[in-house]
Amino acid sequence: MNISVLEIKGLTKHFKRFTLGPLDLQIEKGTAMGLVGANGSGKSTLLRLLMNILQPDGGTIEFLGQRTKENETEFKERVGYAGELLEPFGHVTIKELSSMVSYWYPKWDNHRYEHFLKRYNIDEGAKYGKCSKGTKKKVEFIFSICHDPQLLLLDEPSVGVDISSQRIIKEDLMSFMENGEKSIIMATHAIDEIKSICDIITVLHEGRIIYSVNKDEIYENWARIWVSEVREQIARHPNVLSITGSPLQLVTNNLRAVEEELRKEQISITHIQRLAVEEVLEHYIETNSA
Amino acid sequence: MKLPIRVSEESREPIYHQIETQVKSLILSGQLSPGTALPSIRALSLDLACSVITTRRAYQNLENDGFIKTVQGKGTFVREIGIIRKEETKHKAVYDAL
Repeated sequence: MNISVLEIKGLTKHFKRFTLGPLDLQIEKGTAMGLVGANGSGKSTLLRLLMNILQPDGGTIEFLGQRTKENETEFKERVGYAGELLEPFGHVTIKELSSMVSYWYPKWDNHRYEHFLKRYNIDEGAKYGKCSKGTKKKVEFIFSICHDPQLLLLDEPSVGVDISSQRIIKEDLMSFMENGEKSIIMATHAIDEIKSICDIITVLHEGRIIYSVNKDEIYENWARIWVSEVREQIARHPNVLSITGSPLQLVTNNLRAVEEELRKEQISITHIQRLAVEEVLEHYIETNSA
Repeated sequence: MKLPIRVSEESREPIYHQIETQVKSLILSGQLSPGTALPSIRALSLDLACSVITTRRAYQNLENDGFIKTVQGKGTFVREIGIIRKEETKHKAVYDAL
């Protein structure tokens, strides 16, 4: 039924001042996962470990049931990665870069490549290093998708990209996902990208996954409830996360349970509002920093 | 194609259920005739700004209930529902709505 494309178990990487993991994570066919978290929480490190640009100290990564470590070539032919890998090649033109990159991909589709160049208005003769930040992002994105990968790993794909190109990237990601066979893992800070593209939200904090959920569950379970009064019973309820005054309101991560409890206690509810994704994410990051 | 479906912020019902009920009533009312192609799971998710996990669940339930069928590689289509069954479900839908 739901086949996992990528399965990570116990993935760990130690640095002098930072440890990532151990991480367990699974991504299903046909879904897009948004990796969110503060700067330095380990998002890019995770993507780099997946690509074996950084070597893990422990744990396993499986792609369609096969260890990526033992099948690296096969894995890399079927995955697309955009994450500032081209920086050392600033002195060459985009055209030269494309022949370097395409060389490694048997499935590279040159028609597709030409189509994207036009679509994103890229001057192939320009030196990569001379391109603006947004143009570099677009070029990386194009390079990551022209061999029709099974899985896309994107590290903040829209940073510095102009508004209309952001829309085009979104469209292209959507058509990439359309047949339900492909998956995306995307590190991002753009709430709009999370809302429109991602199905699963995974929150990293100080190198650990503190939350990984279908984004609709956020909407279904989290709410702010305005109430007439708060009693001991309510204040201590495990699903009541915060209570603030004037007017009296509480935040919950399990609307159903708390509503039930309020009804039992005969406390009247004046208003219920669903929390926005960004509020919930902030809440998570805050409680874990405290 | 775009379906005239909306998920409501105010509703207590889970999103997959909202999608299910609305597609059912579109089919029962005849607005979606048998054979009509439904949007892909991804396209509907994008349209409703919800996750594919949710839409997939709604489509799966609709398929189990015999309202739609998925043809591998072609898409998802509205099924021919027997007249009797349609009447039955109509009554039930009305009943549920009330």
